[in-house]
Amino acid sequence: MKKLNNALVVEDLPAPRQTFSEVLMAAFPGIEVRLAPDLASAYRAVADSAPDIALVDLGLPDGNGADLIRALRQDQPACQCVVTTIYADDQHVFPALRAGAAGYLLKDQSPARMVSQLQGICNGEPPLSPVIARRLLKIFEPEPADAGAVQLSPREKETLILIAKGYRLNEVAESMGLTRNTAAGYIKSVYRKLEVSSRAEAALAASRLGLINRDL
Amino acid sequence: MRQEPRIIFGARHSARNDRSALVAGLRDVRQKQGVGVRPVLKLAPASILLAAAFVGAGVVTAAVWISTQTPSLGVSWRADGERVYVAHVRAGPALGRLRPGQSVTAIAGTADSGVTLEPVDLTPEPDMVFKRYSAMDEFFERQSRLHAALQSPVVELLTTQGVIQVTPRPDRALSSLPPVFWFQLVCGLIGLLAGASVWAYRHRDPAARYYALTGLGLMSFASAASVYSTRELAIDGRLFMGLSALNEMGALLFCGGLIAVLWYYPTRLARLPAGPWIVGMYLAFGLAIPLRLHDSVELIGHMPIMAGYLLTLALAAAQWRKTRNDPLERAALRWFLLSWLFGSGAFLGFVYVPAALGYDSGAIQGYAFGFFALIHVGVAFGVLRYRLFRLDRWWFVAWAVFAGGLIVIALDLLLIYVLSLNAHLSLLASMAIAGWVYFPIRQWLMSRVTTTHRARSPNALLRLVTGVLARPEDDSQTAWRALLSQAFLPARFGHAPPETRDSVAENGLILNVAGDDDVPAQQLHFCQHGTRLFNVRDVELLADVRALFAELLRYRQGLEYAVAAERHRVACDLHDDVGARLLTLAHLLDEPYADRVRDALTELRSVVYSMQPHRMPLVDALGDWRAEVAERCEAAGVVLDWQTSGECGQPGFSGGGCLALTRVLREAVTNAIRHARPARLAVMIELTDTALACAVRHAYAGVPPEQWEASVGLGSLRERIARHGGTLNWQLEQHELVTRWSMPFPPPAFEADKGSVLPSDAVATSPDGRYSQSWPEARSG
Repeated sequence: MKKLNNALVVEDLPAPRQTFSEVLMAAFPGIEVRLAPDLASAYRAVADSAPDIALVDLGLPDGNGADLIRALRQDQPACQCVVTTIYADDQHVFPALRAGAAGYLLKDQSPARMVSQLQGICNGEPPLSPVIARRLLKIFEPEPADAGAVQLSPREKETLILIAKGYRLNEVAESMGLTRNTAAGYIKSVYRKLEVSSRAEAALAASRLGLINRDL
Repeated sequence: MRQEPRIIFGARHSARNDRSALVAGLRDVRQKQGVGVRPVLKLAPASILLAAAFVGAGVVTAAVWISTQTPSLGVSWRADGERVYVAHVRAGPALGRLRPGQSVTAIAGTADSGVTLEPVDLTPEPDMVFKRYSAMDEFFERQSRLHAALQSPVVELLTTQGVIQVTPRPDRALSSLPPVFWFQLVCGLIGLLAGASVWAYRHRDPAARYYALTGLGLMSFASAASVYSTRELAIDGRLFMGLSALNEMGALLFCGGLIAVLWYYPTRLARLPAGPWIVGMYLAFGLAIPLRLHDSVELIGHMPIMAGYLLTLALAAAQWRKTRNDPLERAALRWFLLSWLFGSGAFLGFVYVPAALGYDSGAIQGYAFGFFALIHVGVAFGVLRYRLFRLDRWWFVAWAVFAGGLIVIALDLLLIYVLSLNAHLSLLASMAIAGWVYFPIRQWLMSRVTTTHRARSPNALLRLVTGVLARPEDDSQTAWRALLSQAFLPARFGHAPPETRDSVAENGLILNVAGDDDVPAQQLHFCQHGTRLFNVRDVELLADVRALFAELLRYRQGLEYAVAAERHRVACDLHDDVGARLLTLAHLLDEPYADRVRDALTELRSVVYSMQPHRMPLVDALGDWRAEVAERCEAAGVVLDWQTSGECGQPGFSGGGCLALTRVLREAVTNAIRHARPARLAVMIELTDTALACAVRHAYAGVPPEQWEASVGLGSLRERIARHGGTLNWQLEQHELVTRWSMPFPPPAFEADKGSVLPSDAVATSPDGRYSQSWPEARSG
């Protein structure tokens, strides 16, 4: 794992903001944490110096955190974006994952658990939950009309189906006769495909809106 | 008279436009076909069936009438070598005068010189006996003379014991008609009705047309034979000749029809319109018989049938080859051929071949007709199994409806018969029978059978549409189809191209129903199970139904939207007001208080999730439960044994029901981990046809459940489960604590007061489509 020097916490409530800062310092000793209560100050902080990791709340007083994640993903691809949220259902978390978030943290967990989860995310553990897995399966459902769409491999699909049934990652690995890492690798490759399909979708939407001139 | 494509839902269009569109459409079709206005058959399938039933009834009546209007002696005759003798004497004019076994050599009436009786006079089927029509005509002449003798007031029978005088009955008793008489009529009826009922539903299909022709052929030859083959001794020779010709023509028609069927079915073998030629040729052979164009029975009577049989074999082989790439068509063909080859082959083997070899097989011919009826019965089963003639199971439903109508008529006739039979029955008793027995049965049958058009009155229409829309889990497509099905009672639905407009097609057999963004265009086949045709009024009714449906659907969607919007607001408020405060508390407080606040947040989260608008499928809820329990067990170092059984169907519990189930599971697991600290935890979830039954089981050394203090938490859990019709209890079983709870499944369709009633797709956008709803995403965090 690469050494993380700079962290950014974007959160409007003071108490959690403080906890996140402590959690980051506990997880990555020596890290420098900057705090931002809203999007505007977050953008200023990013322009000031690029973060290696950013904990981003979604519902901020001046906008949606997913926009910041999208911008960071584009300008600072090395930065790990982690969503902090009360709700871990697909309606809340999924747009942020699509925007390029590496994972999500439930805000009300104990600090000790948050530390281990953050370390997991930075070690490349993909975000998993039955809800998210179901959403991913639905997104990659092959549509007959759309032959060129990105599709899942059978192993990736099998992994997602087991996750959707509530299996833990080590149970998935055991049931498929894989190592935990290989199983995690399947999930990560699904997220890569999700990013590809998100970009394709965005391009398609942009061309529909006339933002891209197809004659060029 | 072209109309612009229009938005169907909400756009109420006038019936006048539809009518003119219909006329224009018809004109279009005719112009496309390049024909003038061709006379077209415009009959509801049930009318065709009824007509066939009438024809059948007429033929049976005629056969019975002719058979009973011949003079009789009440004697069964038999031949033995050169001698004709009495086999049996029934109660009647000859009883006591003739005895069984007595030979009779001649018969004389009062006015004639007498006719010698020869074995050939008893032959049931002349065309199996005579090789020449000239010989057959002599036979008919003898029949005429015998018939004339029997018509005289007194008949003299010359026996070895001398002359015996008998006074014949001028008619024949109905009871003396042998079973084979009725059997042949039944065979004929089966053929006629089977043919007519296939043709009624597919009268554009040449294969169905020729198949119906074979039924007509079977009816003619079987009913003609029923009369003469069961005569006591003689009928009028000219009548006999006519019936014999009808029999042979029927057989030729049957044969020609089957050749034509195999030309067109299952696939048309060539573009050549061979059907009319084949049938025409066989009819020509048929006409040659009464016209006596040739003297040889073999040449114009038997040869075409033998040749036809060989021809059907050749055509069957050709069809077999042609359908080699279509297993479904081939399966249908195989069944059809099996019926046909078995039935006709058996007939040829039992009747024709012996006749050709010189044996008189006429005696078994009557029963051998059963083989032909078997063909038609076989085809009916083929419809059921292989969609023969592209008909399907609905064909039987249509048949049942029709047969029900016939049963009502039969019941009426039975009442009249019973009342007239019992002349001594008092008027009072008659009224009692009619009032208490007959009318209730008849009305019950009528109500089962008849399908009056319920959707005509505005009230009925409203009831129909609201009834369909009362099922919230149905999407608009399912509801629309259900509505069409109830309003028009079609025998079946068919696909239609997207540009289809509301119109009547195929002369009323089909109603085209336009589609729109929500529902695809479709066709309704055979109005009211085929008992009537679609007409312009149905197009008007369709427009009314559509407009009302759209209006109520919009209303329902508006309501659903309002409910969803309100829930959204509550969820957001919970999040912003309660959630933020609890979160701050969780971060400010020390353990163990922070942990309790986290529990509260977990519950808040569950409540908010449960307010999502759709019913979560059970399989998804199971996934969430497992993930939560597995994660907590993993964190606590407890081995989880998770077992589920039963098929999870699509519908899940309402938000409230699901929340209650989740709460109990969470509570049971929490208690186990916090207080019992077991090494293993078993969760069993079983889905049966009626309920979802769950159990959590783990080692337990604490106070037995019956000694637990009544706690508020456990009581409220039990109450919440009970509110959804479920039960919850705790038991100690061999040092293990078992928490059991269950809830009825599938849950009731409407649980408005307990949770969500909304289909998942109904709340994605507001009904006017102005803005789409997002679940509290924008305000989360």
